[in-house]
Amino acid sequence: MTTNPAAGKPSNQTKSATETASVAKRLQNELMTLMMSGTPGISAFPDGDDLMNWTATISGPEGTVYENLKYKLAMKFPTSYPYNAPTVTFKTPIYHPNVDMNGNICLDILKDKWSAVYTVQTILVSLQSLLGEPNNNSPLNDEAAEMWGNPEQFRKQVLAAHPGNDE
Amino acid sequence: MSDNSHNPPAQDAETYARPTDDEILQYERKIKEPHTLAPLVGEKTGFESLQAEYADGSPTTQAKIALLAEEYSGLRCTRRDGNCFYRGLAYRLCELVSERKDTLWAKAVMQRLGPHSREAVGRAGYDLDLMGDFAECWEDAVRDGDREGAAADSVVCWLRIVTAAILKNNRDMFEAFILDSYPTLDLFIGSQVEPMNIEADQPHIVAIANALGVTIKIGNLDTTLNTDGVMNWHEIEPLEPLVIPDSAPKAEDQPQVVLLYRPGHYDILYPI
Repeated sequence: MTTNPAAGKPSNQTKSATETASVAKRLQNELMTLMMSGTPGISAFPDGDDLMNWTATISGPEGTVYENLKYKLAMKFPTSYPYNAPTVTFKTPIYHPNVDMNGNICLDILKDKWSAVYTVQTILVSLQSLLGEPNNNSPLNDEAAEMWGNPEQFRKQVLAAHPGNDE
Repeated sequence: MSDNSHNPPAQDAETYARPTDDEILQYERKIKEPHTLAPLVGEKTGFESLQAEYADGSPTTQAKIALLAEEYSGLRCTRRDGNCFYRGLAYRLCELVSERKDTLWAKAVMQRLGPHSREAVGRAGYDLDLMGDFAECWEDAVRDGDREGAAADSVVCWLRIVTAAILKNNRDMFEAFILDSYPTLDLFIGSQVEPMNIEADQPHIVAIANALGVTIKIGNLDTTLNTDGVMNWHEIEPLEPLVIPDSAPKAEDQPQVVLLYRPGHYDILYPI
């Protein structure tokens, strides 16, 4: 086999540059897929030129207490993406058993079950289904978890927490 | 809401007593620090450090190490980050292929770890557009004999996906191993195979040996299985061995990947 003297072993510095480039490539790839597929009720886009920080929107699924409401989320990607999960937080206040008052989310695929097979798209679809199907066994908002069985009362709390549907 | 990223006043002790994700991550990093500072794959050494580590250990372990030192020229330690099995396997296979470049064995292995693995991953339903970059890192590293590249996270990630694909494509066979402890094979894969930093166990090793067509031999330093000081070895042979033409010269060997197992960790062993 031929050896290419120009293609020497990358030093640590160029290696981290390569890593950053591969994160960017992956995120661009995901952005393209997301735009082409047009999954209903979800969208996401980088904040300006910053590919490592995105803003996403999900719509509350029909037939759930979140119907007709939109929620904004912030997605922050580590340089070790996709080996490590992005940090995803609700920016729109939400009353939900698995979301705390700061917008932090408890969802297994964003924690111990994260792997490189997940994408921005699969995260948002999972979050959308988490809205209608919370995991009430590991709540971040205990009161919400207890109230889940009472949809009318729950819907009132959801509307009270939501700042309005104009965004 | 952007000003809410810091700890708010403790209005509700119950809610805020919970550590934040950042605090948990920082703590995790702190306790793992000694391991994360270790090289992904270290230098090849003799058995002195292993002997020193077990100087106060059981006589069984010491006897096993003494036997290893007679039959093996050394070992290479991998970082204890839960990826050690995949990393050790990838690194060693890359070495073996580059030492035997252009042999029929090396060509057969390249076929398995390249097109054959990609086909399996695609058939299992994974998005090859998304996973193809990882596959490329692995194939390039082995072709170029770039051992450092073969130890990268991208390669660990790809080998995990290949392992998962083999499990999915041979559902009937693997469910028998797994359904005792997991309700479905897919739940097992989602929590024990795909995520980084989760150790490999018997089903993972059987699956990846089948994918790559290479025998993986594992020496067990555990004292619970054997009390007479004889090393217990497990040889995991691929169900579909490599197809090597009859024209292969008799002198061409078909090397194995040999690993040393201690509970929760794998290192690379070098035969004399």
